[in-house]
Amino acid sequence: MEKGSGRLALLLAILAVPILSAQGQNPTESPSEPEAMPILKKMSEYLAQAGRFSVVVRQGFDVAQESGQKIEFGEVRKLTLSRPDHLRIEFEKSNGEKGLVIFDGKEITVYQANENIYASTAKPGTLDEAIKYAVGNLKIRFPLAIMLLSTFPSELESRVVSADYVEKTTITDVPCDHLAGRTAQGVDFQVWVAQGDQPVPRRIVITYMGETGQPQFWADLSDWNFAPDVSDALFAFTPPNGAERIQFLAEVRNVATKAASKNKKGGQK
Amino acid sequence: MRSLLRMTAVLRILVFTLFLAIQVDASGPRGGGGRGGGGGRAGLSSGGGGRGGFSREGPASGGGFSSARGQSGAKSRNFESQRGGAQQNRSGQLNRQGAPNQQTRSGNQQNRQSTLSQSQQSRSGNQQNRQNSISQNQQSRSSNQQNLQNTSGQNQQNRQNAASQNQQSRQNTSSQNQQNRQNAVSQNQQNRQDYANQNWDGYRPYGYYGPGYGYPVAAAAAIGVTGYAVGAATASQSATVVPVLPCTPTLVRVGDQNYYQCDGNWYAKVYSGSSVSYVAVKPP
Repeated sequence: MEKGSGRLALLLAILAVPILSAQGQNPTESPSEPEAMPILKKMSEYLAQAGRFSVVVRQGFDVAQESGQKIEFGEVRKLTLSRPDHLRIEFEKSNGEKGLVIFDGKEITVYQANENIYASTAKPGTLDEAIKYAVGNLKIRFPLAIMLLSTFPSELESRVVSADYVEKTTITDVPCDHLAGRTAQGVDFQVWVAQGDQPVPRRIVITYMGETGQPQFWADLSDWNFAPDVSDALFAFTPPNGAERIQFLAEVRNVATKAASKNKKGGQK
Repeated sequence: MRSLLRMTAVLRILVFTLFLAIQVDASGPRGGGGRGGGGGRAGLSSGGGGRGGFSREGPASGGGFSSARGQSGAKSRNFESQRGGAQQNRSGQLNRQGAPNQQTRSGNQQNRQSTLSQSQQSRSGNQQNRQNSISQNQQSRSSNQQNLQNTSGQNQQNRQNAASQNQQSRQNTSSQNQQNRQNAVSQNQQNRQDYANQNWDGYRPYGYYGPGYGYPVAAAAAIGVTGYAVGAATASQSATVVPVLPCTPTLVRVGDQNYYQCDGNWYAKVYSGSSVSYVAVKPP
């Protein structure tokens, strides 16, 4: 009997190996998920429901080089958001480039100080629409874009396939709940949410699991202010002297594509 | 019986090795694609600051909660995401193996407690339960030597528990699997629809996999309302975009547009990602 059960155990252990290995590669619900999900929800709803806020985001990201070596670049961004349709982002990259991204409810404008250039395109509508247009159509690099949407909770909910409560941590500037999640899009993320009555993200780490070298993006978020100055002047862009207006590459290409397809239909070359 | 088991074990290991090999193989071309495009990437996305020739942008620089890999037609990603969803359904009742196993390793007294609590937990489980039960039994047997009185009864209880759990697990797993398959099918359909919507913030710098990647391939010789005639001479070529001009250009102003002439080629400045690039245009 003892011998038989030993064999059975061996057989089951062998059978279990591929199953368990396969499970390791797919997100699974954890016992801490019921604890983690409400915190994610609370955090995202808190930001989505805020009428205005400003925050300083110090961020970095890996860029896998051709050699396989990963190099980190970074930048500091100060975001000021006023719903429903105003946003200002001041940024300074690790190489010293400085610039602005501004949405005033009518136009999306980007300004690059070192080159003294700006690009601007009409996009009347809400901030949500402008952000999605800037990222999806204009292909502007816009880290943590979904965090600024009024639909942040549903955006997050639709992506997350599992979430874990990792630990409560006190080594951050304020005590935080450390959560880890996985998305259906092949992106893993971790977020440190401040405990207390202001459940804002204090740190975010995103890992692109399907990309070469599994590069990471990280961001430390500080100086949260939910009553910043949001006067119109903050969201107005006046081109500095000598600033050259250029176009978004995506717009040039879209025009080219449309014209080309028109030519094709007309039988022209 | 023993030789049969050995053969089964060998076969299992072979199948598992093959499974790993296929996975490595499957990820190979994708990784290769990334590196292959690296040449273009390094050249195209230096953003004017890559003094050491380093590429300054990649998928992680976008800081999105999506990966543009999915948008690029990598359907397997999509499929994996469905499996992820189905997996989640199935695993809703799974016990986590890690923590309880660690508990059972640490001390006999704790073994008995954790074994009991595991038994309770594992009623709702499936395949993983079988693994748990085995490790519980093994642990319980080792407990016997030191705690004969207590563990004797415990073992018997464990074996009974394990047997009934296994039976229950098999039944659960069977019906659960059937449900999962149905769920997975409908979820697949839903996922395919949702995927494009959910993936809108996946970032890919222009030229990451070579010109045209991630953008509609622009045929050239098209005169846009923008005032630029984009691209080279033939309609089959896609527009050329470079982060830095290959020479010190001559600035030519035509109307309100600036053109940059370089080695006989004409370029216009454009904004791409988060920096300035140059796109090849027809002579004004």
